[in-house]
Amino acid sequence: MRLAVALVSPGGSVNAPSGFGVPYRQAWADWSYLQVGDYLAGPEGCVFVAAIEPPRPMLVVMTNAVLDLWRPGGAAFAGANAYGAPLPAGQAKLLSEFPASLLVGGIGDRTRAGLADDTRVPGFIALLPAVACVQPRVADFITNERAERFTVTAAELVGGVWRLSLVQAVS
Amino acid sequence: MADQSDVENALVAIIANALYPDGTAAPSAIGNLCRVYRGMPSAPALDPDLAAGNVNISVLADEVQKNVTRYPRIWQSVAPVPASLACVVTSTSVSFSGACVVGQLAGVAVNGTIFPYAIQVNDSPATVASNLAALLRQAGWLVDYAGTSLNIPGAEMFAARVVQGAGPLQEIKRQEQEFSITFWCPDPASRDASGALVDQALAIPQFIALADGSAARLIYAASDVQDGNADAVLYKRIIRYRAEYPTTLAQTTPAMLFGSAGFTANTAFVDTFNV
Repeated sequence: MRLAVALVSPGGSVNAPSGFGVPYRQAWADWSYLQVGDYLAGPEGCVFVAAIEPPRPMLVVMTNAVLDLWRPGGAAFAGANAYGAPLPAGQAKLLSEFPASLLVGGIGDRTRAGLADDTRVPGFIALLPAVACVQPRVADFITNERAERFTVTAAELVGGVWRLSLVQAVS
Repeated sequence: MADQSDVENALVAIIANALYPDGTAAPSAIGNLCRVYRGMPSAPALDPDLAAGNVNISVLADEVQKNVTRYPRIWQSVAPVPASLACVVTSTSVSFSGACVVGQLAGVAVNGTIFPYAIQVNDSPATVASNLAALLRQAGWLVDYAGTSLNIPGAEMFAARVVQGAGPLQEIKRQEQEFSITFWCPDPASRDASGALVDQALAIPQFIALADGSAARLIYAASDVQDGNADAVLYKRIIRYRAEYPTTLAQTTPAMLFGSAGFTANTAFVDTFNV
């Protein structure tokens, strides 16, 4: 469907550019065709609808990443199992290729691999449309289109949007 | 050669056999579904298990260890054990019967992949079939397991064997190492029941069989209970056993259940056959 959409800064201003690393925009459009979680793709990029509260304009989120959500597997059988710790072969993909906002924020952590160049790793905040049949959990993990890996440290459902606190997983 | 992973595997087998004395086709001895494995569980896998009332038991080698090498480096013959466990193979299924004796090795080969299992002191034909079924399922095979037999309908090439004992071994070092058996339980009752059963099963054998034909001396070290995660409905117990085990050299590969043989005729190489 082709819609005419006007995107402005979160405060409604058209006098200045949006702040760097701020994913929110006001969107003016005919929202009778839209619901929370819908994606809008256009010349300014791909956004998803985060809130529709008439008569106010819609709140949309600019996306900058494509994310997969995974759940690590464990021992599956009664009695003896070959191994209990998460293995790549046992991962279950819960979401595939969801455009989302992925920006540095929240609380970071430190690496624990014992390498000479162990550093602090940043925290990230991911925003993406909620899916009814999936519930993200702490210790699930997310991968992006650059094969970077992030561990979920908190999962919050606000309206129809998931806000996930993440820590980048680095050896 | 024996490694700490061999000790972990032997402990997993003993614990699984204590909890499922009739194999996993029957309910566990404590009533709860129990999973036993090497390695630490992950929270996303553990939380649903705790909510369902299942018990997880992990086996991990600790850092606590001591070098106790003290024997000369001489080749020693491992005493042969009687071939008392038998298996009958039909198409894609195998059925085990007879008596289990430590030192025997049972295994199946499915489409060229080998799944060996070292017989433990509390094994029976049912637990051998059960533990082999666990190895096969973990590798992604659909296993039809019941009683003392298992069937792999999807197997194109299938073989099963029981072999006995090991060839000569030379001990090149010896270590004493602690192993933690951690119980991840949904309530104190299942923790008490599983902990007592497993502690008894580990205390009975003075030596446990390792896959290379050598043995580890098993000595109780410690036990403690942790309720710090009770707010997450997690009740833990950690039982620690100290294992003294050798690192060995072998003249022949004792776990040679299946292998390849090259055939020659008139000094010309003919082909390699899987045997």
